[in-house]
Amino acid sequence: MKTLKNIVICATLLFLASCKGFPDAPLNEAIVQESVALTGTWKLKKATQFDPVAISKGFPDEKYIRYNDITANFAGITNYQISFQGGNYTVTNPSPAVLFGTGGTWSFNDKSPDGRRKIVLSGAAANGEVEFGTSYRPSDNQLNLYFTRIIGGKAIVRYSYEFVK
Amino acid sequence: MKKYILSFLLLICVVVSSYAQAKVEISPKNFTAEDKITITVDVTGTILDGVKPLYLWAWIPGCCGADNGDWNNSNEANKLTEVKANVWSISFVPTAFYKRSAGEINEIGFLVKAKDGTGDKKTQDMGSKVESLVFVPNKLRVFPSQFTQDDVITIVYDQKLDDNPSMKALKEVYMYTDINYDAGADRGVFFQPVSYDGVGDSNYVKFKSEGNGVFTLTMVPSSYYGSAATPVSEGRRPSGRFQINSIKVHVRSKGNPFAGGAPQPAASLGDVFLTPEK
Repeated sequence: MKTLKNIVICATLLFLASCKGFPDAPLNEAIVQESVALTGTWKLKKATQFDPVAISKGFPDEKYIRYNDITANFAGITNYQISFQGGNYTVTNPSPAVLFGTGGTWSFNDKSPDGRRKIVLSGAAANGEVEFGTSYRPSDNQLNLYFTRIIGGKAIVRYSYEFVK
Repeated sequence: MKKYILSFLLLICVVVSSYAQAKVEISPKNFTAEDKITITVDVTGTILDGVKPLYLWAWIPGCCGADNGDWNNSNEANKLTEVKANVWSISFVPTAFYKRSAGEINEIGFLVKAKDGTGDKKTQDMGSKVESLVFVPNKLRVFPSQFTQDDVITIVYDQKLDDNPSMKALKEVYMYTDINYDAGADRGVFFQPVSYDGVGDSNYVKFKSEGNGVFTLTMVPSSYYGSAATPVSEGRRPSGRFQINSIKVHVRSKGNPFAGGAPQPAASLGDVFLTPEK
């Protein structure tokens, strides 16, 4: 019995000794990934608008109450293109329904009070925040950006823009 | 032996049942998560009889707790007010108290306890259902409910909700509109893109039929009223930097409802004003 106990202890110690921690991710890995995600020219596929006030009140999940697909409401909106290169971005075929302005510079803001990474677009509409809608995977060939209109610290309108390369 | 066990269990039951249950009253009885409520608890005859002060320990069933502090050291913000001997109350708005949106609060749960609840110095669990905030459909509304002049808005006219038979009969719906805006030193400037007489001939102010009696007109106000493509009927079309103070929306028929001999049906909803956030 004692022999068996010693074998178990030794095996456990050997197992623990053989464990290696996962290598730490480079400190700037996330930044590089998201920078890579943005880089290139993106064409707008779909634009959807949400009413955060209606959502927070638990109103019905219906068109014109919680959301509205505005893609078909603006002629030529699917010709809208945004191109991120280095620290600059340019817009081709702008639309009043896409609130990123006509171009400028961009950077990340990691000091947002809600802790979420924001994308600062110098030409974007005032009183708003841009952020990634979903995680980016190159195989998806899709970039989702959210624009949230903030007035008096409160989100009043939210836009989801879906782009493809 | 069996006799002793039974006696012991009976003794426990007597001890446990010797404490009364706290009586609770919530005012108003029916409330939403955005209403101010007052919870009044009478702890007479309970383990908290005579204990001072008392605190609320609150949670949302199936979700999460409020800022309760620790069980042996309740948050001072949750201290109840003594109304009279053994009767305590606290008032709050659930969304603010629980720090959750109204959509997340369908029910509230709470108990009352001593600051240090060790030793079961607490009442029984209590609670109440919370009524949902009700969306009230309106024949004319705007989506989203709050917006700036640079946001996309959709003006929605729902014919089904209109009591006016002439409006209900319309196959086409138009908007007579003007704005009041500020630009630099100029305040309260008036601009009207299409005249009242011209409304029925302008696709610029025509609603889109979505079927089922729903008509919509989608725009970005700053662009709709202030771009080179905006028609001009009266006043000065805004340009450069300007701020819209109000948008007049007057939903009507193609024919002028106030002109004699207009093709029927002819009717209007009258003036409604939208105010963009600044």
